[in-house]
Amino acid sequence: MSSSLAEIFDQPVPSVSALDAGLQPVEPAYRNVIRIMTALVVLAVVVAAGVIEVVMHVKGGMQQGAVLAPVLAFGAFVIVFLPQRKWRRWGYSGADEQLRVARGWLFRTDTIVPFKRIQHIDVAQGPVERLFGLASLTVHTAGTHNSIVTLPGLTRPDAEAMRDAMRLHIRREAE
Amino acid sequence: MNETLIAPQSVPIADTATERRLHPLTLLLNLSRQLPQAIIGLIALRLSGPDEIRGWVALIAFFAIVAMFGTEFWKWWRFSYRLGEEELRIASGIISRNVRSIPYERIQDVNLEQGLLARILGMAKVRLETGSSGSGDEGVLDSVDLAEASRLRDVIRLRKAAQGTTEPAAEAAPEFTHAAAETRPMFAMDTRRVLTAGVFNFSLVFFALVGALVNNLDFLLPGDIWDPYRLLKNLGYDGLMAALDLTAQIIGVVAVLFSLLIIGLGGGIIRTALREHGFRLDRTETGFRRRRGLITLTDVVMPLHRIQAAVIATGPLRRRLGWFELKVQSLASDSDKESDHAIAPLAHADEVRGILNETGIRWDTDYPEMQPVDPAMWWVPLVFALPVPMIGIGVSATFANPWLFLLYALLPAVPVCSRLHWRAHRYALEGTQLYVRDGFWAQRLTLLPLRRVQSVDITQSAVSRFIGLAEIEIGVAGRSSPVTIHAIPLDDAIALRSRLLALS
Repeated sequence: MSSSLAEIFDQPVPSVSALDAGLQPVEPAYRNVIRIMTALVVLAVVVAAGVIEVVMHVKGGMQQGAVLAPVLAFGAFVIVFLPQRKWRRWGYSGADEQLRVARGWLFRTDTIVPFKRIQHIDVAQGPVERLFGLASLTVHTAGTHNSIVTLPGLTRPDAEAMRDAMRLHIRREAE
Repeated sequence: MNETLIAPQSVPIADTATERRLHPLTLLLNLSRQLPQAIIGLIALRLSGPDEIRGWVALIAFFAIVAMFGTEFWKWWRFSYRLGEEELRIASGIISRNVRSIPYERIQDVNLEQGLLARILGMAKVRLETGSSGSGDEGVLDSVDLAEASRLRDVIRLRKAAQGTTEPAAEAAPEFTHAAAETRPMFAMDTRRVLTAGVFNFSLVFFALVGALVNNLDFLLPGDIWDPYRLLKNLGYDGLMAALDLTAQIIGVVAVLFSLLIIGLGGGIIRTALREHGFRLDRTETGFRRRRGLITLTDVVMPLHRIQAAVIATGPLRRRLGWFELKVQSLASDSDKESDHAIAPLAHADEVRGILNETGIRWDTDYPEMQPVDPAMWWVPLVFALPVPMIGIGVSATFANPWLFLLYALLPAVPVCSRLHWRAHRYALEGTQLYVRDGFWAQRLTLLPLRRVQSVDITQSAVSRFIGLAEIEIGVAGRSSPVTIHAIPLDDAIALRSRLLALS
C-alpha cells in the first residue's frame, strides 16, 4: 500500500473550523478500507476502458493507449490520494452522552444523537473491514430523518465498547 | 351523520377465543373496488384488435372475471382473526400463509373508516394503531360490521387495561364508545366554516382530473375534436374565426382565466367539503378523537403522548382574516394519504391555543418577535441557479424563435420569490420549545418541544463554509423531513445546537 507516500503529499491539516472542535479521527487503518473499496470501482472502470481501447484500436486504428493511459493515470491518482482525504473528513465523539459523527467535505454534515434517543444499535463488519480488524457502528433513532447514523472505521473492540456504553443508557432511560 | 360510527350497545366479551372471518359483504366491497377498472379494461379490449379474435377475447374476459371472483373469495376464506388472551392474531395469505400476532399492549388505538358503500351496508374498516413506524397497515381488518367493530374496540381496550398499561383501568373502557358522544366537542366545524375552508383550498385538481380523463378516453373521441375550426364548423359558425378581432381574443383569454378561477374555487370547496364535513374533535381519556367526512367517514384517535410537534399553517389572506390550520405530527399514522394529522382545518387563534393547551405545546411567539436568518439564503442559490435559464433562453431564442426572448421578462420573478421566502423564514428558541417558520404563500409555523428532538445535524456545503454559514436539521419522529433552519452563522448554529440538546 502506498499510504506512506500519500502521507508525504497530503499532511493532515489541523482543523480550523469551530465546528470540528472535539472531534476524534477514526482509525488510520480505515484508509486502507477506503482504498480497497475505491480500487474495486477503479478496476471496473479500467476493465471497461481496456475493452474500449481494444475495440477502438482494431476498428478505428486509434493510437495505442489513448483511452487506457489517462484512465490508468486518473485511477492511480484516486487510489493514492482519495483515501487519505476521505478518511480525514470523518470524525466522531462519544462525549457528554451523545454520539457525534461528522463526515464529508463538499457537503459536510455533523450529526449529534443523544444516547437516550437511540432505539437500537448495530455493529457490522464487512469482509474488507474484517481484514483490517475494523467494524462500523450504526445507531437507529425514532426520527424519520437521520433514522440511521453510521460511523465506520472503528476497531471492533472500540465499536463494541461504545455499543455497550450506549446500551447502558438505553436501559437506564427505560427504567 | 357521524353518529353511525358509534354503536352503543353491550358487548359479549366472553366470546373471544374463536377464529373469525371478515364480514361476507367484504367480498362485495372489494369487488366493487375492482369492477370499474375491469369494465374499462373490457371496453378497451372490445374496441381494439382485429375482428377474428373477438370471440377469444370474450372467452378470456369471462375466465378473467371468474378468476377475479375466485381469488377474492379465496382470499376472504383464508383471512381470519382471533382475539386471544394476550394478542390479536391475524392469519392471511392464499399461497404463502402469514400469521401476525399483535400484543394488546402494543395496540395504541383502534381507528375506523367507512366508505360510502360500507356505510350503506353498515360496515367499517378497522385499523389498529401500533407503534411501528411503517406504512400503517400492520393491522387492518377490512371490513367488519359495526357491531363487530365496536366489540373489537371494547375487547382490545379491556385487555389492554387488564395487562396493566399506562392507562387507568377503571374508566378506560366504557368512556370510549359512550361518553364521547354526549360531551361537548373540543372543536367542531359547521357547514359555513367548512365552506370557508374550501374557499382557501383553491385547487385545480378537477381540471387535472378532466384532463386525465380526456387523455385516457380519447380513443372514444374523433381525432380532431379539439380543432377549433372544426368545432365552429360543426356548430355552423363557418367563417367566424376569421371575423374574430383582437378584442374578442382578449375577452376569450379573460373568460378562460375566469372559468379557471371558478373551477379552482369549486374544486377546492367540493374537495374540502367531502373531507371535512361534520368535523368534530373530542378530548378522550388519552388524547384526541377526530371524526369527519361526507361520503367516507373516518374516526381516528390520537393519543396525546404520541404527539411530537405541532404545525400551524396559514396563508397571507388567511392570516389577515385571522384563520389558522392546526396539524400535529404524531407517531400514529393517519388514514392512508396524510402524514400530518389535521386537528383543526380552519380555526381562530384562540381556538388553536385552546386545543394546543391540551397537548402541552405552547404558541407564545410569532413572526414579528422571531429571528431572521442571513440574507445569503436568498441570493446565494440565485448566483448558481439563474445563469442556467438565462443562457437557456438566450440560446433557444436565437436559434428557435425570437419571441422566446419575452421569457426574460419572467426572470425577475425568481429573485422576488426567493427573497419573499427568505423573509418568511424565521426561528426562535423560547423556553423549552423551538419555533421555525417558513413559506411566504403557504406559511407554516412548526412548534417543536425540545424533548422531542431525536438528532441534530449541522450541515455546511463548500459554498456556505466559504461565507461562514451553516444549516441546522433536526430529526423528529413521525415527520418525513427534518425541521430545518437555513443560513445561520456557524457560531450561532453551534450554540443553538447545544441549547437544543441540553434539554432533549
